[in-house]
Amino acid sequence: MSTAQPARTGVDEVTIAALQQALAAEHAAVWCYSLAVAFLGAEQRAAARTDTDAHRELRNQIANTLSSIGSQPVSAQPAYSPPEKVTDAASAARLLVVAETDALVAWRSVLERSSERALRKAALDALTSATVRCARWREVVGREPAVPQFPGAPEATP
Amino acid sequence: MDPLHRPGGTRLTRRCVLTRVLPALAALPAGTTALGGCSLLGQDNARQPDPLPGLADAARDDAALAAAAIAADASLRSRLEPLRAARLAHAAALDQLLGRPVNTDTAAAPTTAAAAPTTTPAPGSRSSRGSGPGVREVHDAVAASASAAADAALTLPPDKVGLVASIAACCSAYAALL
Repeated sequence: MSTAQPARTGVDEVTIAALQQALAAEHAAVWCYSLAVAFLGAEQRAAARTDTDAHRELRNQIANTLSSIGSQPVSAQPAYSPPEKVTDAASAARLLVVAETDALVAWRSVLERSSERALRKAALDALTSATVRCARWREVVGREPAVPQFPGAPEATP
Repeated sequence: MDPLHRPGGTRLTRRCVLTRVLPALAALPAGTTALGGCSLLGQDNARQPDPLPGLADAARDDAALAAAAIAADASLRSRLEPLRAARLAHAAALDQLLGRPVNTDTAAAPTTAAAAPTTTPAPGSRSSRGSGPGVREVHDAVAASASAAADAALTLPPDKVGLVASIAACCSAYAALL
């Protein structure tokens, strides 16, 4: 409010809001994996555990980054509402597709709301690794193509 | 509590922000392009040629290469057809962003091997198994496309970066999964 120079580096409030959304998506993903893992078969459970670690790592990195720039990281919600009740391996995998798809949207948004090169690079890395995870779960549930054509794009928009 | 959430507060320490965002979020291998010193502020927006036409051409080339590989070995269809379709979709989306007429012929290309272009880059272009481009060539091409799109995504304006980032992620995923 004092000196409202537009932020040339891109780490401004818009970027911070996008990071907070990415953090919220990562919180949700960690929760979804923790729910889904119990329903998955052994092989998929191992993959889910690896993916969970990846989301925890991203979550911690965003939270640390937000803290370091003086923005309070959003907290995880105590629980989330899956779009569909998880009752078996198939519905568990579908939940993970949803979680990864949400994460993709959030990470693409970070790219669109930051002009800071290093942050874009980090967000692109996150977008890419989430695309690979998303593809794996889409394959499990039989969604084609397994690799989304425009990862992170809002539905029906490149 | 700490004096967080002061909207103005973050601007004061923007330089610090940059140095902190990097180790926190960007686990970059040493010596990669983006981080040559502290040149993060302002030097990236120098006038450069628009990367989008090249990315669109690369997308079409990748699609043609995948089609040629499928034509040479029909058993590759299930692996490569989704990639071919994705790269055509990328080309169409980039064309649209560029205001070019979108080539509906290719965008709506049928998914049969007959759709393979007759002018394949494969030397000799024999269509017996193993003589055309294979998975390795397609992999290398899409990996190079991923890299080019990723580079472009670091500097493009906000209205273009989303599409190009999605394309980079899609190509990277294919490179990882092929």
